[in-house]
Amino acid sequence: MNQSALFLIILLAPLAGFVLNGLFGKKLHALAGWIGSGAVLMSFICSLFLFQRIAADSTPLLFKLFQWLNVGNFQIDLSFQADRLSSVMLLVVTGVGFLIHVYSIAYMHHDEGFYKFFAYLNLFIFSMLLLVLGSNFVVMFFGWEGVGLCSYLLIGFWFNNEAYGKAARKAFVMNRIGDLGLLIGLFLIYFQFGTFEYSQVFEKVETGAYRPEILTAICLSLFIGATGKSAQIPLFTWLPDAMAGPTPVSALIHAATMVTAGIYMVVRCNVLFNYSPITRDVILYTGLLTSVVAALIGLKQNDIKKVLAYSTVSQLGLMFVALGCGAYSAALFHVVTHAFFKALLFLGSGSVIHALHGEQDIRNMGGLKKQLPITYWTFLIGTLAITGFPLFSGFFSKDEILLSLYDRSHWLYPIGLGSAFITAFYMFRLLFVTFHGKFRGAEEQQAHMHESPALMSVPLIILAVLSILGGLINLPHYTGNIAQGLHHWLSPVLADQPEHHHGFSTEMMFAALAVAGMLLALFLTRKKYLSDAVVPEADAEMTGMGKLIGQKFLIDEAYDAGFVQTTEHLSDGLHTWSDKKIIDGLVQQSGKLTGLMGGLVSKVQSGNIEWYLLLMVLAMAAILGVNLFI
Amino acid sequence: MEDAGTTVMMNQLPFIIFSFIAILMALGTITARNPVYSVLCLILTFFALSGHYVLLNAQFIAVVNLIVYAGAIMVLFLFVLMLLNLNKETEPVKSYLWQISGAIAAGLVLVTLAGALKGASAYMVKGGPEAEGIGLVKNLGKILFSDFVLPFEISSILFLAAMVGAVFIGKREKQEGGANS
Amino acid sequence: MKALILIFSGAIVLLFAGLGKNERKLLPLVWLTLFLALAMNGLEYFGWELPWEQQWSSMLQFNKFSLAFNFLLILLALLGSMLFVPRLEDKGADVFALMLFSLCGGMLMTSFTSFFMLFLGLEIMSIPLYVLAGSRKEDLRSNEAALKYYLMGSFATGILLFGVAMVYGTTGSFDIYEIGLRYTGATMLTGMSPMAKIGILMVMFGLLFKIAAAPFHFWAPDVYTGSPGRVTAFMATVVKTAGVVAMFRLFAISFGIADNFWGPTLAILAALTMFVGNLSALRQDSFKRMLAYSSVAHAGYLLLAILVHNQNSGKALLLYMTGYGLAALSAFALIHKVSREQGREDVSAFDGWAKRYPVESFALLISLLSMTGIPGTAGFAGKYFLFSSAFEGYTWLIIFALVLSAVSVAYYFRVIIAMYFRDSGNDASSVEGSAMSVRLALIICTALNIAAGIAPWFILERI
Repeated sequence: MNQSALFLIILLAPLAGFVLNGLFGKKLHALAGWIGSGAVLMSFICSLFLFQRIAADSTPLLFKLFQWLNVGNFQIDLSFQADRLSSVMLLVVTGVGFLIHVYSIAYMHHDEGFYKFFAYLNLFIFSMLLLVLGSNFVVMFFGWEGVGLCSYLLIGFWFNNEAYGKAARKAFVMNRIGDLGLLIGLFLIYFQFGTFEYSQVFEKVETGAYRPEILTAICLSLFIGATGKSAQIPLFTWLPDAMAGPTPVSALIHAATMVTAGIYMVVRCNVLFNYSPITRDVILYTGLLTSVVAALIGLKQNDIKKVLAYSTVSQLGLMFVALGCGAYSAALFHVVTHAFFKALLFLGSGSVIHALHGEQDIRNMGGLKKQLPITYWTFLIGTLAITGFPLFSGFFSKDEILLSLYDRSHWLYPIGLGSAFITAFYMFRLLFVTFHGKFRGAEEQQAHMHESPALMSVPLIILAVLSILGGLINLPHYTGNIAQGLHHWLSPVLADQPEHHHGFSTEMMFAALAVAGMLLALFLTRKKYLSDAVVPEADAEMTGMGKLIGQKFLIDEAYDAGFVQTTEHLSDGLHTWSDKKIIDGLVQQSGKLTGLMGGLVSKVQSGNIEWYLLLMVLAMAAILGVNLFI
Repeated sequence: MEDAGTTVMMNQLPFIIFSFIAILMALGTITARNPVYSVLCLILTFFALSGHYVLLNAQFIAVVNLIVYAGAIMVLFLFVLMLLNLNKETEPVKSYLWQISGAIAAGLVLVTLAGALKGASAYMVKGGPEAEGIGLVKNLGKILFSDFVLPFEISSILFLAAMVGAVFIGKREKQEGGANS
Repeated sequence: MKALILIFSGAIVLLFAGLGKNERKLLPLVWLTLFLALAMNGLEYFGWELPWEQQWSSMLQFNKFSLAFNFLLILLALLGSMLFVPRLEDKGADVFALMLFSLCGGMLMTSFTSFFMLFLGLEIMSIPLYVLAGSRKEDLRSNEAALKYYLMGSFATGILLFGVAMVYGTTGSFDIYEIGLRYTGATMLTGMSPMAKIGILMVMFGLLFKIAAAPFHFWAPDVYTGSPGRVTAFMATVVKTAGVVAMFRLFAISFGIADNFWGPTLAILAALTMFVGNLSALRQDSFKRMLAYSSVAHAGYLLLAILVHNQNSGKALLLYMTGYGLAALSAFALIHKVSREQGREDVSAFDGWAKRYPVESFALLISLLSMTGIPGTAGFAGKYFLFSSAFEGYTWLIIFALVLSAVSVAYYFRVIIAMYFRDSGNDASSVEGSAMSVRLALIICTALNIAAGIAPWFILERI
């Protein structure tokens, strides 16, 4: 197959799926799901072919569809580019996307908006492909806005609930704030470099044809864009709210693909960021802070999807840490593994919710291990992967990030390690409370509980396998010849990569440190939630804590008082404070301010014609006076 | 010097007189409480303006202005006033606040313009050979049907549109038009 | 020129046809006229010129620039006449004839080379509109709108004429190219005389009024809300386009050299317009009034093209007006529909629309996305090109505009949420299908909007 046909099929298959489902979906019934999935599968297969070509030759493949604008020296092409970086993203988006599509056929089968759901999902995949494949900033922006729009449509998919509509709007507005940053960045890029093509911009940066302060402004604007899409402080609160959408949506958009758009963009522009160390510092600290804050908040969440949502924010924070350290391949590595295990975890939670007919509160679950064996085992694998259990994919990718953080600063390393530790803590808590112990829900629910159909469980199993093996693509240095596969793969698109060689023993020591932390968390949560069968308390009944703790060992008490409680209090505080008060408050206040000004402005509009004329004449007098006498 | 000054004064005397009348009567038009006085003031304003046209050598325009505006249109105004029986009592009175603020605002613009234009000199249109009789009907007609024929024709669209509009407003509604009036 | 004559003759034929009893034939006659004019304009664009045209077209200039804009104007008028199903009382031939007259005026404003023609065009466009705004005679709000528009419009015309007199006073010419040359010489030698300054500013005020830019926009929300939907749509699209193009021509050709004099003032007014338009729209519950304010906001963006006044910004103007015009037409048409159906125009009237009217809702969705500036629509392409053509000279203004257009999401999306994410109280039984012509026009608007968003070069290369 020739190259442009490949590009066209990859892009147009999901678009065709969208059009078909959108126009005729109502009559297609169940077929709509298969059309949607088939379209993505087609993209996936073509992506594999494309991948093969790029593996053979690392020069980027270009495909120009047509000229979008061509006026004088102002040219923007609608053109696409497949290189080492986008081919990886391509496989992740279409591959994970396909699995989630298949899963959704079963998950959404009784929904009346079935066909619409698949139409939106396909549109989302199309936009995401635009974002990833674009060869210039404008095409990327097309995709960037497109995924935001689809995410908005899908969060609000079950619009009968008012809160969902609000969550959708919040997501969109916050994303728009980010997009504003990106857009300003784009204008600045054009202003500085006179082109939007990646290759030309990067070339100009490397030859030094730029003003440093403008480059910094560009990088900062781009990063603001990234914080919006990838849910970083201060624009992260929309992501947990976005869990209002159907679970497959959370898996696809809010865990595996869309939220990594910001990471992709920074990796893509690594040349720019390399020349702006200030921005890289900003990214590093923002990422670190987000990672810790989100992890702490995750500790106290009782909604199964909210826990996963905060863990996503936290993991994204870690990826930004890697970007801030300049370890772009580590960040992309984590993007890939995270896509696997987070999609797995979300789909697993979807399977639980499906089995319990919409129950999302983990306090009403427990003991699901027996009834939902496949879900349990895959969820366990996902949990082990995200917490960094040795040899699982998350173990390698997280170590890679922590190692580069150590290289960057020895003092920041413990914070990163701490974040990983807290992640392990709340993930095991989630696992134990949900799947172990006794069932705490209603009798009726237990009677109707059933393992999910094959359409749902097969994607789970595939993702579980990927979560285990995903680490193979970028093994650590000590593995010798096969090490750093992704890193070498990406080297043509990454400018200069810091090489860190620590020798076998050092790397092992760091790995051991991380594993020790993870095991400690495993031990502590196992003790608390499994042996002692502690049920997490609802937000309202905080005082019941003392009683429950009383029966524990002294060391437990000491630990509880000294560590668990403080962190849990901190977590509560952070949640209400940073999330509700500061961020939401700020957003609300700025909303109020604009509202107030709007009120003032429309008060002028009284309907009285004398008043209008008077204002007009006064304005004329003022303008004339200023122009003629000053 | 003084002599030259007086000649200029003498040449400009009609202009000053006409301007004085025009401004005074225009003020009268907007301040008179009785609509009939208002209209009469307006007629005088038009007369004064016609005087200006004559001074500018535009006799034809001056005459047309008198016939059309001061004649036909003003008579129409007066008819309407009489038919509707508008007089002092029915005239709605705006509060003084509006009047004063309006006067101040307009005054500001006036002061600005006057201040800026003080001593400004206009571009002088060169008086060519044909400039002598430029306002005469014959020359006007020639120019209207040669250089200005397109605008002349196009103004017919304007008049037609205005006429259709006027008819439309005046037309009685077909179905129960006068029900709520 | 031929298209102009065709439309004028069409209007006269229409008036005579109105004498007959068969009122059903009137609307197709309007469509036919406009369609022929569109075709004629297209032929003219590709160079079909009759021998007498050159000689008779004094003071008008039909080049690619003006013909492209004329094409847009006729297209918008045609789609507008298809989108609004006339009510019983609107069926008179005079309403349609007045609209065609007004369109003639608009076409003069895109192609004038002399102040005479500018003024004539402006008046031919405005006078029928004063009447049309009040064409729903039994509706008090319509009467009020007509009176307000008339009073304030004549005021603005007076200001414009004052400015024209001043400009003539400093240059001795009405020809816009001639004026441009005179100003070049004058500004190079001695700086601008106060008389020229006053002239330029006054002309600017008069035109700003027509396109509803702050602080001369006060009439717009009231008049847009009060006028019948058909007229509002006409004002927001055809009239606005003509006004902006006239202003662009004048300020590019005649006053372009003096832009360091009027530039800063216009930049501040543009910022003010965007600010006032967007923030007032936030607070509106009536969708029609919201769109009226949003049209003020768009006038602010359009002023950017005049600020830059080069080849590129002219193209940007064409693209932007295409996007905005198509979007505004379908939005106003659907407001018209909802108000006929439910007797109200507020946002909540659209609750659950997507279920009852999928096609109409989709059209409205696309037009709102286009006005917001979401990629894939003409609105985005226009905004993008407009902003980038002005970015270098007016960076602060562009960033301000970007921020405000981000704010605009809030109010445009209220309607989308109402349509797609809310349930209406009453069920689907009250569905009242749209007429064929309306549906067709909606589909054309939507398709053109998306097409222009995907391939904007096609439009940009027209000038």
